[in-house]
Amino acid sequence: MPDPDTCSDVDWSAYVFNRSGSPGIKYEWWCHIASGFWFVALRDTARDEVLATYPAEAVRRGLPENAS
Amino acid sequence: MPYRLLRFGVSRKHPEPRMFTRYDSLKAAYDVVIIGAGGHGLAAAYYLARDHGIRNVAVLEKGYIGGGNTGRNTTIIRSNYLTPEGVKFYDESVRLWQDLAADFDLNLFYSTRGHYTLAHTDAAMRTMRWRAEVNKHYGVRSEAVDADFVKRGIPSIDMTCGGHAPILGALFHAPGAIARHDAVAWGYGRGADRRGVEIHQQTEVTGIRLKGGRVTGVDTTRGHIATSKVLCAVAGFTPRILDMVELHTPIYVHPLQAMVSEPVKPWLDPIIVSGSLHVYVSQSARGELVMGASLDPYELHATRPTLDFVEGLASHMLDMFPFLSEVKVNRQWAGLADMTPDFAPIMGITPVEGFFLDAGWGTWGFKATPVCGKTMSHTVATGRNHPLIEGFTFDRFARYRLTGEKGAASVGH
Repeated sequence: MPDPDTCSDVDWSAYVFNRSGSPGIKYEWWCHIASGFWFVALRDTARDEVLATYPAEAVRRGLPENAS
Repeated sequence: MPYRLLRFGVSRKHPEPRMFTRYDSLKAAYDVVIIGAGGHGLAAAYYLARDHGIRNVAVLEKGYIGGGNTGRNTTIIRSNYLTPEGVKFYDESVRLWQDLAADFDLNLFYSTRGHYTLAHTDAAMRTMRWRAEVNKHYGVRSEAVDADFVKRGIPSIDMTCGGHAPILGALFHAPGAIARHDAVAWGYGRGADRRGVEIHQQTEVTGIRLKGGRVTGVDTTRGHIATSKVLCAVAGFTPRILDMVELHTPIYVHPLQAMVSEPVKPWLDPIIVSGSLHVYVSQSARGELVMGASLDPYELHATRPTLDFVEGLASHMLDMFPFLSEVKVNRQWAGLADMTPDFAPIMGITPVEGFFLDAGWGTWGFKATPVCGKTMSHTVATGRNHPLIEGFTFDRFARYRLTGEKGAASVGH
């Protein structure tokens, strides 16, 4: 994340709006509604295949490098 | 007659001209290369050749003509949008639609039906009045109507919607229409083809060459082409093309599904949309009910259908029309919708010189086909954005000037 106090408006807009829209292996936040349990899934967005899941606490310890 | 048909079949020289010319190879260079032979790409090619005299154009398509979202939408045409930018743009499109069949000499089955956006809550009624006022201000025929008007227009509807979503009124948009979507791509394609544009199917773009920030050529599965202008009109595949020129946008891709019922006798004349029930439905010339709902809830680059979608949509259809309970669903499919955060498209020039974008068409692109062709061909020919697309420019996110069109998306996303 760019530093909001020092970065330019254009850089900040790129951080706020832009994203990688191409298919790939991506980390996503998911919520199991029935239990209210939040977790992170590593998912292939081309084939809709979940490759790994992590409980929310794992984010604090640092997730493995994004494969995409 | 069968004898003549047989002789025609085995004859080497076919007297009937094919709809499109088939070219064996690509030329070394074109003035303009258009990626994507859907409605938008072919319309741009058509108007480039017809209105701007630019005929040395190649349209590259990795699949077949009109096989993407042009052939996967629910064919609804309307201009009852919410923002002035949107209303003016789609109104011009509806005007162009009126003479399109005559332009092409091809029957588009353009059928003006009237379009109801149902309101089930006071809040929705307020939005309908707001949209009606914006529409009327720009000369578009829309009005907020009460429950009695809806009941007279759609006598077969259950006004209580299963008892849990009573209809309070609607936004009625008389010019709302449907058309035969494949014919739109074919009409534009044939018109462009006759004016010298080359359409190359089964030709995938694998890279775009840049030099000093400007386009110099396109690599394809059938060889390299030199060109200084590229128009990208590839809907759900936009992010992959943008990676080739290292441009970043907010576009994200979700599947959008639709389905049709078995054909039944004509009983539903107008087009019905309900934002609260997440349904839009019309009856085609063949008698099939063409139905759609919201986007699938998460990112995916595949067109798989889901049972969940059919169940949800069928249940909401039955809220409105309980007598359909014995009618079967015939087909179900999906397309890849390229969405933007403000529900408006991204069109026109980009920071890469010679690279033009017609994208972010999400769930609302079919109705805009003619006006996109008109405005993008102008933009490509002159190098300057057409005045009608100034609310949809690539740089609006960097300027924090979004065009909030979400209130007018046909159903909530």
